[in-house]
Amino acid sequence: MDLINRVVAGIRGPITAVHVCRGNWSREDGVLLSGGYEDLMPYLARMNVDLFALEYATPRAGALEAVSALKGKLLGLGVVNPRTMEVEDPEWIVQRARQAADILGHDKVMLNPDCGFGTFADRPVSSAEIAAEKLRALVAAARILRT
Amino acid sequence: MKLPPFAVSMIGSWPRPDWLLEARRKRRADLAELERQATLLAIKYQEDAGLDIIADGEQRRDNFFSFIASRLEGVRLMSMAELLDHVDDKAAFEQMLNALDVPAFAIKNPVVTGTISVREPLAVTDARFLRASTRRAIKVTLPGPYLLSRSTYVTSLSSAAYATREAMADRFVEILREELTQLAAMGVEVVQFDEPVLSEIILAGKSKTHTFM
Repeated sequence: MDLINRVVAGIRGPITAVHVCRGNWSREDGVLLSGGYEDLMPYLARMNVDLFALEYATPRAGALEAVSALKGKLLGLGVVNPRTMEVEDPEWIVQRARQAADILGHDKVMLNPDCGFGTFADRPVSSAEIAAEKLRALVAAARILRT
Repeated sequence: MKLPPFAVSMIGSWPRPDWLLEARRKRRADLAELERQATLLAIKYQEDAGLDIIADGEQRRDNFFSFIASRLEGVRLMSMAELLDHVDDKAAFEQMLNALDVPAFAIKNPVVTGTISVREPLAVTDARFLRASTRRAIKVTLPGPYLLSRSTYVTSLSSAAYATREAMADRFVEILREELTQLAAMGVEVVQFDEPVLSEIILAGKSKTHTFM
């Protein structure tokens, strides 16, 4: 389990991040891995990186409370699903982010999609137009959160 | 660069335009220029949307992982059909493929078949272009060390160069450290390691039945 710690040891400057996801190739959630992050948290907590980008836009991620294991770290909160056509409501994103901020702190939460918008070149899960709308929803939510 | 609270970024990849996919399929001579244009387009989408941290959209990569074969010596892309010939326990291998968190049937897997050396950096050159193309903070993505050392080692193909998976993992750690050191020197704000199979490694990977991945 020490591979990532050996990679980052002694190198200062960038925010170092680990992104853990569980499948980004189908629009049907049922065929992707499910299960919360609870079992992973003890391992993540021992990684000497600054930021964890985790997918919390769909119910398959489990309860958000699990991130309390990452106190002191930054959380890249996945709050839009890159695999769906429906654009998330900024108000819902705000609620989700406040919930995370209550656990980790206002200055510890960043916003991102669950995963990439184009993970596999030939199997895009999204169009640029929908992806752009989802990004705008994230920005709209961030503006509300900062006021 | 100071980031605001609730800073917004993408994870990394952006849909590649059809003209880029076609150019790559046909191996067009101007592919590098088209990749450059697609990257600028991905950057513009993010800037227009108001993101705080900009990624390059991974337009030069076929995916977050397989692209390492185009940058490193000693790593070869192999189809799952080719790989099956090299696996002792085929039932366990197929079971692993089913559990695998990527569309294994759809991609070629990079396999270590020789001593690994860096032909082209995994991210540093792309990061330099991104830095020069936006005034905002940037995020650079790299395949993480668990992903790299878990899925590229196939004993019958890799053991001539590296006696053990651990010895090969040491080499990947060196390569990632060199990338991170250079990205730090460039002042890159966020460096992200992608670990899509981490759950499988930690929660299921303790089983010795996994001959691969």
